Amino acid sequence: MNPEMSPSTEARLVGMHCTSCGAMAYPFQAVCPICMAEDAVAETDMPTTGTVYAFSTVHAAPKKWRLPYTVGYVDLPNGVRVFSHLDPEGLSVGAAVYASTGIVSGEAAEEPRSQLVFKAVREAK
Amino acid sequence: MTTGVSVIGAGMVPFGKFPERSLADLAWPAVKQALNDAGVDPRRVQAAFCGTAFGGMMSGQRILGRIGLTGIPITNMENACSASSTALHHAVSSVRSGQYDIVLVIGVEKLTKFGGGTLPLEEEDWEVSNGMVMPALYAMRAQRYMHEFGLTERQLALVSVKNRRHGLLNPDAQMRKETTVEEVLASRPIAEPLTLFQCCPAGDGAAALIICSDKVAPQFRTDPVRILASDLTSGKYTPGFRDLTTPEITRRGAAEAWEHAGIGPDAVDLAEVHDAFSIAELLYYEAFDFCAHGEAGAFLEQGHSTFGGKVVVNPSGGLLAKGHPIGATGAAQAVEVVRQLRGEAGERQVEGARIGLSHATGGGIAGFDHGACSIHIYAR
Repeated sequence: MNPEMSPSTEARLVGMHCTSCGAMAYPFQAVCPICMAEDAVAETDMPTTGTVYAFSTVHAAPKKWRLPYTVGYVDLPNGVRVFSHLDPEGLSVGAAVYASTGIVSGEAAEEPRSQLVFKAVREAK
Repeated sequence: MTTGVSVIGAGMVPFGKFPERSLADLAWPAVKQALNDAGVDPRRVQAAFCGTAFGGMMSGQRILGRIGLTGIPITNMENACSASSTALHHAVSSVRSGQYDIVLVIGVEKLTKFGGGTLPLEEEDWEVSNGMVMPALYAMRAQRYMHEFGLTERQLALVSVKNRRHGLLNPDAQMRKETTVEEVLASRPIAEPLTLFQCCPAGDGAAALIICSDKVAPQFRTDPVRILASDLTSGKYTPGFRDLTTPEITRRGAAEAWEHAGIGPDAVDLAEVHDAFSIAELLYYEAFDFCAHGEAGAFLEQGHSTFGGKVVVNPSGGLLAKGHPIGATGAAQAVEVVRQLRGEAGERQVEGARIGLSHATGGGIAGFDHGACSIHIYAR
């Protein structure tokens, strides 16, 4: 279920595009949740930048996570909302973010793995 | 042809932490209390609907086996925090349709078996497998609402202060200690901006109801509490943008419930709503049209949702103070409404209460505002 990760900080978001009704969703799902088509859905790359809709820094969670961690919803320009870990550095509602990767799992996880983490875009000064 | 349906018996055990008690032993005293309250011979109960989220297989049979009330259809129902309000809904439907005259509803949960921490969610879900916990979901609603409408941290904390004050007057409440805005804000962070005192406590509990048709109600009580509306719905799966400041599922359910009941929000004297976290209660003032969108903080601050106000919200203390053993919640809310409408609520009695409402919604899963929502409207 996890998005494919390249070893660098570049992240790829593989979502669903329905060629029948045009709906997009992330992550990929085999049936279009809007028009119910099965034979018209294709894997497609989602944009890797978006804006923060809302986020929270979590201090109580199952042991598989390293506390505290930050999760939130990122709205992509194609109308898809992605739930993801976020880097709290420079984060605010409405902030521009880009998809990256990081290790967010805690000691109880089987093995630490890199996964999707959105990071705030730093303004050039 | 359909018949009217009433609640004639209500019972619950005080909510709290009872790790030494089995689920069955938690629940049977609530069932006995409801049967005694109704004055019904247990052998006349024709069916039972038991709501629980984590009770395990055959919860209803395990409970009713303890008291010998078996050999009838027992249906166990899971719908997260709406489990026993869903059970109530199906019980009402079965009576309304004429299938049964007397039906038992049970809600039960034992959360201490998990040893504390956040509610264990389904790891098969995309968001859960990526770090979603219930406090984080509500925290994001709070953050977004504060961002859009200027709700302050103090207003948010005031929900917990109010409901703790209500819970102090309820012998069945888990949290019977008043608190202050300062204490709420100083309690440890759980999911920012929500602090510990803005999160419902984990606990154990059970509640039960006896409901019956209009035909047989007069045999048992002169003061049946009529059910004017019994609504159940599920969230709408939305892969795109959703407005976290508007609980779509509750708004839709409320519209259906008002229509069934033939009344509107102005008629409601008290409402037991699903305040699993402080922000939730504020969102539900608006979803039920007790106030306009964006005005919930002021509505609370001006005292409109407590005793003496326009509508007493969570006179029992709500989930924040009474507690939230999740499968028991819907039935326990109904117990509170019944006691209020009968004038049996003691120190926390809502004066002259005639119309009450209960609302249980829940299930943190990806793509849904909430998984399930069940709303009931009652009249004396």
